[in-house]
Amino acid sequence: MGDVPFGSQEAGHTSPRSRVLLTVLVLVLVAPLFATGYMRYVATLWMIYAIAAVGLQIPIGLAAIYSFGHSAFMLVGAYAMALAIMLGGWPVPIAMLAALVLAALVGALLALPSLRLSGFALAIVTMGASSLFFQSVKVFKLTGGPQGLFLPEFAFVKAMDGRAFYAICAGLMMLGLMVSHCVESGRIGRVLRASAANPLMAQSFGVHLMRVRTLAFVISAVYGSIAGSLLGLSTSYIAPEAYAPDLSIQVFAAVMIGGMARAWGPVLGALFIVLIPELTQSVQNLGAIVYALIFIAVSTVYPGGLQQMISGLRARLGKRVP
Amino acid sequence: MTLDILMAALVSGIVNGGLYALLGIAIVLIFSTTGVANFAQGELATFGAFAMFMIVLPVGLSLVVAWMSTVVLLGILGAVVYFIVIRPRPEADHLNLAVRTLGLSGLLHSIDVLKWGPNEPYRFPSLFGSGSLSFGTVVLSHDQLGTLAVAVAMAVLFFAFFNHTRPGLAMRAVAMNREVAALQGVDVQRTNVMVWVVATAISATVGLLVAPISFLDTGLMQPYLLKAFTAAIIGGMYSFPGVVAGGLILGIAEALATAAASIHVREPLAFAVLLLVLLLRPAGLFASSRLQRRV
Repeated sequence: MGDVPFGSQEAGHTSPRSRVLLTVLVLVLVAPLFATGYMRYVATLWMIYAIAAVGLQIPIGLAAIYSFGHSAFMLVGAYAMALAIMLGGWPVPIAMLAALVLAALVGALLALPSLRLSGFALAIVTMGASSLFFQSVKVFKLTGGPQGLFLPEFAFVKAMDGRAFYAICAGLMMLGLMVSHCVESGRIGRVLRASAANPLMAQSFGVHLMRVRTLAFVISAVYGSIAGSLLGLSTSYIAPEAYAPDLSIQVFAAVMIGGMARAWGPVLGALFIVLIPELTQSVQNLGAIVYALIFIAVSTVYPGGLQQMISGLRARLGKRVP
Repeated sequence: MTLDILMAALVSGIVNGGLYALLGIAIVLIFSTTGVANFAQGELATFGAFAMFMIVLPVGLSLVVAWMSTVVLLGILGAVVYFIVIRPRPEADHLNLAVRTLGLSGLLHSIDVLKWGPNEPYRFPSLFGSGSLSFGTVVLSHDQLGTLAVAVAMAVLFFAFFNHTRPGLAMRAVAMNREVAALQGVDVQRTNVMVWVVATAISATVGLLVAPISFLDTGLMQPYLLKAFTAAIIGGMYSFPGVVAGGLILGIAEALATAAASIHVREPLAFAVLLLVLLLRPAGLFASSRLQRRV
C-alpha cells in the first residue's frame, strides 16, 4: 500500500484514520483496472484469496477455533457450482448460491465436534475433513475423478480483458469485508469473543455455545464457497489438486501472516501469499525457497503479522516527526 | 478373505502403524514439552532420507554407518531449527509457533524439489536386503520385518531414555509444568534443545525406514504426517503409550479395510476411526484425569 497511511497518523482518532485507510483501499482496488492483463489476473487471484481469508478470520480471530477445513468449503463451492452448471444447466449466480447453501451445510456438520474437542484436536479433525473431501472427488466419476472438471467458457470471465471479472471479485471482496466488519462489531462478534475468552462464563451469561460456534463455521463456509466458485470460474477448469488440504494451510497462513488484530489483516496476508510466489516465479524453483524464507522471517520476527510490522514502522516514523 | 490375506494385511498394517506411531512420538514429544504443533515433522523426515541418499552415501560410508550418521546429522539440524525458528520472540503464542513450522515445512520441501526434484523418484537402498521369510502360508519380506524391528527398537530406546535418564526426566518435568521444573533447577532452555534434537532424529529414522518401502520422492512423508497427527490425537496428544496405540489402531484398520474392500476406503476409514475415538473419549484414549484438565 502507498505511503499515505503512515505519515499522517499520529492523531490516532478513528475517523480521519479510517477515512485515509478507505481512500487507500479504494485506490488499490481501482488500480488493477488500468494495469496490464497479467497484473489484473494476479489482482483477481488476490481478491479471491482475500475473500477466503476474510471468511477464515471469523472462526480463528473471533472464536479462537483453528479450522483447517477451509479448502473443503472452497472445494464444495467449486465442484457444486460446476456440477449445477454442467448437469443442471443452471445460470452461474444460481449455481453459486446452491453451492453456497451446500457449503454452509458442510460447515454446520464440521461444527458438530467443536464443543467436545480442544483447539488442536479440532484443527486436525478439520484438516482430516478437507483431506477426505479431496480424496473423495478424485474417486467418483461424477466429479471427474483425478482429471477434474472442465467448465464451459463464460463470456463475462474474459470480458474487457478480465476487467469485468476483476470488478466482480473486488466487489464481492468489499462486500465480504463489510459483512465481516458487521459481524465483528455486532452482537455475533461479541458473543464469539466471549466464547473464546471463557466458554464457561459465556455460557453462564446465556450464550448457546453450540449455536454460536456453528454460526462461525457456517459464515466462514459461505466465504470459502464463494472464493472456491470464483477460483473455479477464473481458471474455467477445476483440478482436484487446486483444492487439496494445502489450500487450507495457505489460507490459514494468509490469516496469520496478515495478522488478526484488524479486519484488513487477511487482505494483506492474501496479497502476501499471492504476490510473493508470483514475484519470485522468474527464478523458478528458487522462488519457492525465497517465499518460504520470507514466510519464516515474517512469522518469526512479527508474531502479530504484517500488521505488527506496519504499526512498528508507523511508530518509528511518528517518532521522527513529532 | 482367506486367512493368509488377513495375516498379510495385518502385518503390513502393523508396519505402517508402527511408522505412524514413531512419527507421532516425535510430534507428541515436541508438543508436550515446547507447546509447538510441529507441522514440519514430515518434511524433516523426507529431508533426512534425501540427506542420506544424496549427501552421506556418496561420501562412501557403509550403509549402516551412513544410516547412523544421518540420524545424528538430522538431530543437529533439529537444534539449529530450534535456535533459528522457534526460539526468537518467546512471547509468541502457540499459534504463531505452529505457523513458523508451516513455513519451515515449505522451506524444506522447496529445497528438496529444487535440488533433487527433477530426477525423482529414486530407488532407496534397504538395510535389510530383498529376501523374505515364510511362516507357513504367511510370507514376510525382510524389509517389513526389519522396519518393524527398527521401529520397535527406536521406541524402546526412546522410552528408556525418557523414563530413566536425567535429560529424559527433565523433559518429563518440563512437559508437566514448565515453571515448576525451572524452579526445581531444570534448565528449560537446554531441555527444549534436547527435545528438538531427539524428535528430529526420530523423524529422520522414520524417513529412512519409509524410503526403501516406497520410492524416495519429494512427497515421501506427506501421507504420513496427517496420520501421525491423527494417531497423536487418538492417543490424547500428551501420552506416549497413547500415540503408539493410536498409530497401530490406525495402521491395522487401514490395512484391513484396504484388503477387504478397496484402496479408496482408506482415507474415509482413517477419518472415521478418529471421529469415533473422539466421540467416545474426547480427550483421547490415554488421557489421564490430571492431564485432561490441561488439554
